[in-house]
Amino acid sequence: MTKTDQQNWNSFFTSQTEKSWDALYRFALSLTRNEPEAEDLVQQTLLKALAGLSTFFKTNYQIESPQAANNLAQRIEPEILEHHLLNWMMKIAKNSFLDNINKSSRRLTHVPLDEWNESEAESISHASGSHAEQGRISSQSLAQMEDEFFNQALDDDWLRKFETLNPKQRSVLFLAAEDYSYKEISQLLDIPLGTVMSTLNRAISKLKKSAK
Amino acid sequence: MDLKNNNQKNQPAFKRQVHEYFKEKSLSADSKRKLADLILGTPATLPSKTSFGLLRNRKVSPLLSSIMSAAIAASITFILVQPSSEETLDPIAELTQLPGPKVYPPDFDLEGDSSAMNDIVYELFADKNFFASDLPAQVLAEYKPSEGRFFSWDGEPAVSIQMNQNSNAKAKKVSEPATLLIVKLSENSQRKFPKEKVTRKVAGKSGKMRKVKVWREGNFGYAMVQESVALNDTP
Repeated sequence: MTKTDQQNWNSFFTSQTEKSWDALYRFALSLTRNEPEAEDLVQQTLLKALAGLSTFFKTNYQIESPQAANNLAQRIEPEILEHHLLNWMMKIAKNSFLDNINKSSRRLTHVPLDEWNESEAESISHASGSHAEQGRISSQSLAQMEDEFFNQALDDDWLRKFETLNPKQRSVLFLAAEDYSYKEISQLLDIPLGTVMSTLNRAISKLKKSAK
Repeated sequence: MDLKNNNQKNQPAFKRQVHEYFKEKSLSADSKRKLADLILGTPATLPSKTSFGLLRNRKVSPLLSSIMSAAIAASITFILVQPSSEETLDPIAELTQLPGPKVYPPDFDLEGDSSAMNDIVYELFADKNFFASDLPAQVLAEYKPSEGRFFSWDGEPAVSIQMNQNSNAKAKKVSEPATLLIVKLSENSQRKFPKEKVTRKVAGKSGKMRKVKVWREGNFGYAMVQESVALNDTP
């Protein structure tokens, strides 16, 4: 790649993602619970995304030059491309977050990696009684639970309870509150749809339990 | 939410509350400017080992200032102190002649956190395998580490750390400050490095006699260098 091409990619990337940096930061915060670490994660994510930007456009849009990417951005609704890039960066952020924990047990993050890697079976086994008995969680029943829970007013201590959740639970809950569908959350976090639902169920159960 | 233009009035209470909490969180204008500068200034070829924490500017990380200077300074030192393989006939003599952490500006300071070495290495090189060595417990029993610096020795990463006497040390005698050198040993330098602990006196470039105690553990070589002291003063 020529220096000019890279500079053009850099400018394009900045213009297309700048509006999403706060959203990315909030997602990072849901993972890290720590503002300085979230800021670092955003920086790490942006650099990785920048390094993989040409591949992203080549794979998703069959575009190989920053000029062609600019043309695309002018042809389609700006929100569509911004949203696609944000979702992609969230994936990078999630993977980077896990990498950071994995690479060094002495990092400043507070939660061990295995809390993210809990198995689907384990997730379901922790689900509330009737669901566990069924062996799986139906989308409808979970949606009802979610609605029921979301309609509850939160007490002043809700944030402390929220922070007791593990990173996967926090990020799933955060994305659900941001109105991402289960399917979108599944794609963003690279976890099965069933895991999204069981994770959300666990998170809700845990918050309900701690609210008592 | 911002991206989906949801009608928040229709959102249930908890959902709205979580959303509102996170909505208040945002990057500062200064952080955004720095991110933009970072992205716009990124070269055509990204370094394979990028230390992502280097461009932060926060007071919360006491290691940060050390790390920032280390990123620049270490590369400079790597060039300055790179010996040719032909000169490495006597690793003990060579290590003794290496400039200590006081010669160049320090890359980091371990004072108050002697266990931070691995974090610093990780932050700097984003690759724990690049250099990973804890400070020897036997040294820490008598000394506390302070400023240090990275350099390259025989083509491998190395570090020199100023060691001052540990006030908690049980040793009755007063130990003079020393320089602890830790070098990652290549196959070639492993053969030249003594397996057993060796203590020698070597004339330094300044003419003063230096005493060096050298030993090897795994892939790392260690040397404690002291200036003009009696033989029984080393740990």
